[in-house]
Parts: sequence; structure tokens; C-alpha cells
Amino acid sequence: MPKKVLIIDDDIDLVEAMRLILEGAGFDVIDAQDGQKGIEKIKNEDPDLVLLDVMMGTQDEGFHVAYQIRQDAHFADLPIIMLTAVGQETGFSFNKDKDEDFLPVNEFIEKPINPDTLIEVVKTNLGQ
Amino acid sequence: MDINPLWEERFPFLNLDILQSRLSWSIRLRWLAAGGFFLATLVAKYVFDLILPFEKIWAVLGILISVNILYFVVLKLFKEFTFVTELVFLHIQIIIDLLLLTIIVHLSGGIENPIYLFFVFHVVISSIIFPGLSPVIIATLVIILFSLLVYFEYAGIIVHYSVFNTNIHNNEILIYLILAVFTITVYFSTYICTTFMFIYRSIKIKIDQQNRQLIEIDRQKTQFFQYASHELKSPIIAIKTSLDGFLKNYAESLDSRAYNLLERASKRAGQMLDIIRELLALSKNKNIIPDNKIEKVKIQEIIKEIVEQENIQTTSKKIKIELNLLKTRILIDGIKSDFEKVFENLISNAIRYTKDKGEIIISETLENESYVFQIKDTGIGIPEKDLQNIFAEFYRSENAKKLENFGTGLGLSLVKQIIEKYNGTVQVKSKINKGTTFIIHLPLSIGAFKIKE
Repeated sequence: MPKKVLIIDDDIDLVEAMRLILEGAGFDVIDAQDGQKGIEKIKNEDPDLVLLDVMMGTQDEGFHVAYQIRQDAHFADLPIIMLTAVGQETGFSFNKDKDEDFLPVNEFIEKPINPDTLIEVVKTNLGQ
Repeated sequence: MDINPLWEERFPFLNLDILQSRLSWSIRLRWLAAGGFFLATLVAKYVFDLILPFEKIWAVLGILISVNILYFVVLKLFKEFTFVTELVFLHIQIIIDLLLLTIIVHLSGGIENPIYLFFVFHVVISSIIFPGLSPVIIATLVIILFSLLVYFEYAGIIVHYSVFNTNIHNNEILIYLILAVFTITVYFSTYICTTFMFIYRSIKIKIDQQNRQLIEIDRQKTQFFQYASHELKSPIIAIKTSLDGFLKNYAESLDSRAYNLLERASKRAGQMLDIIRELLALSKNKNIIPDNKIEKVKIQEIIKEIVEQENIQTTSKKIKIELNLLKTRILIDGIKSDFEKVFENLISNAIRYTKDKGEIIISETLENESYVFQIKDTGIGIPEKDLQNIFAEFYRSENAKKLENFGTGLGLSLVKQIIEKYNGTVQVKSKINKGTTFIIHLPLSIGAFKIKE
């Protein structure tokens, strides 16, 4: 059965582009346009991996969503990949080595993402 | 207790720091005055054989020195003065000075001796440092003290020490004249000084206000710019990702011309993102290094990492890179990403503009308290007429454009901006078709990497 990837991003065009890439690589893709809907989808549809945009409505909505997901014991191991925009600064440091304990996401990647990189990162985080 | 902010706004030069420096300054002046007076009495006694109550004068000078020691101790002991106590302290000092000066004038001949002109110093100094009515009060006090002295000596209430046998102190008309001139001089000096200080302060107030406005405008501009560039980024990211996804999934069904065009479009979108990224970096850098972001930056590690990253490029172009790094480790207080941007730009530029099988020499030296980084390539060089422009935003020299279609023209501006933020300099030497050398000097002296204002 194909793995299910949830994309949480408020840019619908970007979501569609990533859907094209990921579906082309054989994944099932579902999406949500904001953090709240994203969390509902995680609970209802049980995705295998989440691609989470760092900056949606507010400067750091993505961070709050990541916290909320991790707080639920069911999703403690759900891989979360955080998408950041070029040169973005939100007051948080994006350095993974530094922030691993601080921020429970598995990986940061910078947008725009090369299709091959996106597929590779998703596969790696799914243990494939 | 804090200073009333309004107070400081009304008297811009009147703040704790300035008063503090005035205090130590007035103490030093007092040493000088006491020493000078003492020398003058010696000259009077042994060179001119004048007859004066020297013991009394020395006793007064002794008092002056004692109170000055007291001031000195107080100033050293209580480093934390409030604004008001400093002001009171200065007032007390100036009043005691005036009293002592009156006694010295009395002991050294009263109206006969022109040293009473020294009263004018006190008037001028108090007009410069004190706010409000204080200078006028001090001036009036000076006039009263001197007039009383002259009157008491004239009326025989106190003794007159005659030094020059001029009998001025008995000459009623001359006394009136001297007192009148003295009074006019004192008040007029006060008027001139306070008026000047008033103008000076109002200008300072205006400049401060405008400065604040400019800083605010600049902040808004930066904010707007960052907002705008974020808004610019999102659509381009969506465009580029769509194109890339499309190219990946439908490559087979596209004819080669269509594929090629779309690939170019994707590349151009990527270039635009590079420009936005560098513009953002330029707008963010400014001249401020936030204290909380400062770390000990290991310069050599950054250089090695970047050379490593560029390995694919250098291998494919068969470029030889020679690294002559210092044996001593260089740590610079700053922001790591700043130095990454600097060396990334310089090293990738060198590789980009060096032809195949060329050579790049990177070397470090220490020179007169400065860290010197030098990168020399055997590239296309920069035409002499372009040299002065290469640090300007968006500028790219003609031959660079010919060789490499794309470049943001922002990299070197960023390098210069960052290095100058750290009080360093960037120099460039170049010969067309021979190569270019960039030299960075960064001062290693204490405090060199503090915030540049």
C-alpha cells in the first residue's frame, strides 16, 4: 500500500506542485491549508509523514503545529519535515543540530525543493 | 532615582555622563588652580619681595586642597550618582570655590589685584553646565561677594592688605567704576553663554528628534522590504516547484524544445530567488551585530568547508586550489553566517571566473594586529574602469557577464558591507586576463569587533 503524505501549507499552488511530484513517485498525498485542519487530518487520516510549512497565518504557525502534533503520544514517531522559505528568519533558529531537542521535527528543508531531493527526503524519513 | 526624561530632553548636554566628566574635570582644574596660586605666591614672595599674608593664603589653599581631596574621595567612593545629587554636588563645589576665591582675593590685595577676574571663569562654567536660573544666581552671588568684599575693605570693616600701595580700595569713584564694569562683564558673560547654550541645546534637540525619525523610517523601510520580499518569494517558489514537478513527471511526453524552454524558465525562477535572497541579506545586515548572536567564529573551518563544498566545481574545471592557512587558529567574535557569506562569495567567484586548469591561492597572514585573508585567482580579471564599481549593488563587469550569464551582482556588495560592519576593509587588485586578488583586513585588536555605530 502506498504511503500517505500530508502537506500542510497555505499556498495551494505549491501544494499542487508538490502533490504532482510526490504522486509521481508513488505516494498518496493529502493536504491541509492551515495548522488546525492539518491536525484534524492527522487524527482522521493517519498519514505516514507530514510536510509542514513553517510560516502560514502567523510567523511561526508551523512551529506551534509541530508542538501540538508531538504532544499526542500517538504521533510521537510521526515524521515531520519542516519547509522553510529562502532566507527566512522568524526568530527561531533552523539549525537542526542545535534545535533537535528544542523542536520536534525530523528535518528542515528549504523551499523551493528540487523534486529529486523532495522524494529522497520523504523516502529517507519513511525509512525506505 | 532616574532623571526625568523631559529634563534630559530640555537640556540635552545635561546628563549623568556629562556631569560625571564635569565633576572629575572640575577636580582636576582645582588641583591646577591651587598649584598655580601657590607658585604665584612663591614668585610674589621670593622674586618680587611683595608683602602679603602668605601664611593665611597658604592656609586657604590648604583648605582648597583638602576639600578637593574630599571631592575626589566622594567621587571615587560613590560611583553611582543620581543626576540630582551630581547637580547638587557641583553647585556646592562651585559655591565653596567662590567663597575661597573671595578670601584669596581679599588676602592678596582685594580690588588692587586683578585676580578677581577669575570670578568670570566660574560664571562661564556654571552658565555652560547648569540649567535654568542657576547661572544667573551664581552670577549674582559672584557680584554680591565681590561687592561686599570691596565695600568692607573700603569701609574698614575688614582689613585691606595693600600690596601695591595703589589706594584703589579708598578711591570711591574708581571702586564704582570697577564694580560697574565687573557687574556688566559678569552678567553679560552669563547672558552670552546661556544664550549660546540655549541655541546649542535647541539644535541638539532638533537633531535628536530627526535622528529618531530617521531611525524609525529606516526600520519601517527594512520591515517593508522584508515583507515585500517574502511576498515575492512565495509565488516564485510555487512557480519553480510547479515547473520542476512538471518536468520530472512529464519529461517523456514533452518534445525537446518544450522541455528546454521549461527548464530555462525554472532556472530563471531560481535566479530570481537568488537575487531576493541576497537582497534580503543586504537589507538585514546593516551595521549592527546583535550581542546575543555573537559567537567565536572559527574562520579557518569555514574556509575549509567552503573549499570542500566547491569541490565538484573545481574538479570539473580542473582548478587547483592552494590553501595556505595559518597554524594559529583564528577566532573572531561575530556571526558565523556573516563570515560564511563572505568566504562563500569570494571563493565561488574565484572559481567561477577562473578558466579551466587555472589556479587559486588562498592565504592567511597576521599583520599589525590584523587578520589578513587573501584570495588570488588566475581568472579573467576585472577591467580597470570597472574596479571602482564592483562593490556597488547590481554591478557586474562586462567581461564577467560575457563569461557567466547569471550573477546577482550583489555578492561583493554583501562582502563589503559585512566586512565593514566588523571594522575591516576589502581591497581588490586585478589585471585583465591575468587574475584578481581580493584582500580582507580584519582588525584583531580588543574591541575591534564590537558594534560599529
